[in-house]
Amino acid sequence: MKKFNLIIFAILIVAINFSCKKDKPVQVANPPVQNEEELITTMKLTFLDSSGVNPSMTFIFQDIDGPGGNLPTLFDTIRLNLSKTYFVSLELLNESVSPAENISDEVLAEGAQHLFCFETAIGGNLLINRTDSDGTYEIGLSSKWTTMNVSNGSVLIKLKHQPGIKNGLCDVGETDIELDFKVEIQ
Amino acid sequence: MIFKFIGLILLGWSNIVYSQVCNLRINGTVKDLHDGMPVANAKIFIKGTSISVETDTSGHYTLGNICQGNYQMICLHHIGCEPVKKDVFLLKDTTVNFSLEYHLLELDETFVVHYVLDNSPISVVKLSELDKLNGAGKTLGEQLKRIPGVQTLSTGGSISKPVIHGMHSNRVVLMNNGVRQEGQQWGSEHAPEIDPFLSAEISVVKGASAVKYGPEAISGVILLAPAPWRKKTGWAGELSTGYFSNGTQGYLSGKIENSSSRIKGLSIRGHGTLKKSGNISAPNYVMGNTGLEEYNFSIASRYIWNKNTMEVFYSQFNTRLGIFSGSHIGNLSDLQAAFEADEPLVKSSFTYDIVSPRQQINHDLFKAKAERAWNSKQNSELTYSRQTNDRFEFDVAKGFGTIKPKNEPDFRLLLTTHSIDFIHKSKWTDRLETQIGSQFQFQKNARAGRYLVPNFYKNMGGIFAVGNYHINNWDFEAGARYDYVRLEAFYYKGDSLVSPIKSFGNTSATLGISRSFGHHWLTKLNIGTAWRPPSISELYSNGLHHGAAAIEVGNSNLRKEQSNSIQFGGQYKSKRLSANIDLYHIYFSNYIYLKPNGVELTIKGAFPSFIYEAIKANYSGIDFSIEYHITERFSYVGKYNMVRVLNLVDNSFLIGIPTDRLRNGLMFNLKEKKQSKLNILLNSDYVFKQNRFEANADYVDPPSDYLLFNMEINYVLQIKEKTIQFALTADNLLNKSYRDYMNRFRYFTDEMGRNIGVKINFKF
Repeated sequence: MKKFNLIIFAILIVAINFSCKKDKPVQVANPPVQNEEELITTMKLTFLDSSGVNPSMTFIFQDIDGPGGNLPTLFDTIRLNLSKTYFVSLELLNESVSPAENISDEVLAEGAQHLFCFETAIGGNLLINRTDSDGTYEIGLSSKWTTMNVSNGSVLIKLKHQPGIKNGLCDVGETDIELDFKVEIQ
Repeated sequence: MIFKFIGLILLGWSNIVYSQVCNLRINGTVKDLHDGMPVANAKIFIKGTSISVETDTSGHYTLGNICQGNYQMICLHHIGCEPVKKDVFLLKDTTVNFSLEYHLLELDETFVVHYVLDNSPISVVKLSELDKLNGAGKTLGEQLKRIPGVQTLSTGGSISKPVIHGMHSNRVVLMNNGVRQEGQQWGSEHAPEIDPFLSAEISVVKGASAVKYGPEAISGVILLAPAPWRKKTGWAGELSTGYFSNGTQGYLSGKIENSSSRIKGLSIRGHGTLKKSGNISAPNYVMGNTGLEEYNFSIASRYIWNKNTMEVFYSQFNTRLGIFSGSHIGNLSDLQAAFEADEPLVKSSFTYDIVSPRQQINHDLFKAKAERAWNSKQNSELTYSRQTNDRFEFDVAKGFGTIKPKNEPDFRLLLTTHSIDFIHKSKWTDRLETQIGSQFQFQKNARAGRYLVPNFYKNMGGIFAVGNYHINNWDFEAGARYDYVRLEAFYYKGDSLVSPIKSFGNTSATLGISRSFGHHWLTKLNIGTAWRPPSISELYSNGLHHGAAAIEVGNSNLRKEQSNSIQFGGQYKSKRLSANIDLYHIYFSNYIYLKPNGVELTIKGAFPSFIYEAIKANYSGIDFSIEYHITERFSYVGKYNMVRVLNLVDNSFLIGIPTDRLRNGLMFNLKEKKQSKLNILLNSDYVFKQNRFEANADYVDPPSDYLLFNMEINYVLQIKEKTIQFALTADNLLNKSYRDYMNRFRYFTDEMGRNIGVKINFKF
């Protein structure tokens, strides 16, 4: 009898040990918590004419509820003047929360893991150069855009996430953002 | 809490000294089913004991000094033949008569052989002892693949879900130890949280013929049951261990059982399994982050007194598994790049470390069951069970994800299910048996992190009745049930919390008939209706499905899914040849599926969008298996299955339907003695290319056909009551590179390369 009790006792101890090991970091809630996700809802491009003649221009992509759900509310065409040089700063925002979060600050803080890539398709009438750096490689939050002749086309802006694999090139890493803006040079 | 409860029960029981009646007798006669002639020299024994006897020349037998309890009696005419089983609840001296299917009798100089046709009107296929040994250590899905008509839907090498007759997830019901398994089974990358080592019997009911297990069993039911409790007092156990070369995997599993000799009727048992695998390899490269870790255990106890049986059971399943690193993509351009590359773009080497993306699942089950035999004809069972399924999924850390600490999951789903099941069995005559029952289920889902499915409460209630009638060559089974489901979901629409309530109710019914013709043939016919409520993801999922690179949108207007089916089965057995065929046709008047819905623009680029919709559809198919003994030591084994699916709205095909599969095997019995057996099985698997698929629903066309070779060598040694089994298995013997249409990672990587396994199983 004693032996039997002892065995049961031993099994229970082992079982309890196993079951108490779990830690549950994320707490589930009922009713659910609203907006727990980190989204990038908005990309904002601010253009500053290098000669300082014209006022600054902004072009925006905005999808407040993120992928799925409602369609993007803004997807501007980038309209630029011919034969100009612009200084462009790129901002990423999460406007699904209030106040809006600035995601580009986080990208900058982890600049060594991120790279913006610009691919133009406008017959060579637009040149884009990144002007910032993480210390080793460029990032692309700031860039210089140089326009030439009148033309219509597009620019594909990508944000590549390259943790530990950043080499200054665009073909490695996972794509966090991919937006194909229409461009008109007048 | 539960442990205290179990502990109290166990300790309480072990202090009761109870003397049971142990001088009962069972007698009876064994007759030929057809001409009523007595059968002499048939062996009668009670499963799990050493009690046995042979019939005399007039077919009579008597067994003495047996305790009260539940037994399974087995009658067979000759060692090596298939047995006839009967469940007996023994309370007083009892007569049990057997009718042997004696019509399949063949004689040669040395052997008298008789076969039993499986005359149950429903189509049930059990995994054989040898299949279980050869499949040990693999996932449940991979093990079930040995049954014709069962395939798998996998996500990499470590996640696989069983597919029956081309259907999976919410169309298959899993009954684990008498309890309906409840996890997040709507997800195609959510494998069943079950340890196959606990189950001694694994079988598949094909078709919607088993009305007893509730709605959703549209394509079938998978039944997993632990071994029946031992009747003999003392200790017994089983130890299994094995090693696989690919992934340098190992497993260790043990079971132990004791029937108390001091307290009659009290038994206890436990089991534990440990499993670990590192990164697995395709023929040409290592697949990064494909490791796996699993630890599972269970404890159970049973006590029988008078006409009552009480059983408690607790089990835990814990796993941590890596998701192939090359499968993680940000958008469609990444997917295109991954697909165009011959090898994964991220190179990896072998390691046991598991990093993100990964899954961690803890599933536990508590069950208490009370059973009472009112008399030898009436028997009731009441079962309560509670399951919690806690799923954590971790994505690759986002560079700008500063809100989320690195070791926290991106989402967590906690599903709690309580069920109460009642069954009353009545045996009216030797010919007629009935079962009536009811089931109630209360389910609660809570979530955190990324939105996949909402929080919900789901309440379900059902009643059923099943009857079996047997006369001459005929067997009938008829059943009907009614279920009602109420689903209340909680989610945000814009800024406001909404909680829509949906309810679904429906009746389902089945009729099965089997008849034997002459000496070798048996046919079965089944007709039935089945239904299921739409799953939570079909109603309310919304958003970008990471990994699948698609936007999936739920449809809250969906109605219940309904089907009518007809299934025909034929069986032939003779001394040399046995063959089995199942033909089925299922018509869905309302079939829920994910319909391509154009392309949607997001900040991550354009994604294909899908929406859940109901259509009319047809499923039809064939499962076929054959075994032919060319000589006494050399036989051929063949299996084939195919399924054809049609969207009846526009006569198009559907995506993700398994392709035809053909297996040819040669079996050599090198040694077949009473104490030891040695055999070698050489298989080839040919998997056809899927040419029937839906346009614009997939990123790339299905992969090409492939041919694989496998080998299995088994040696079984029996020493008194101990058995040792050895298995040497080789999968993908020629180390062929191939991709399978039913693997969701076919875009990213080849399948596993050669895998040699060594397994030992010791029963004591």
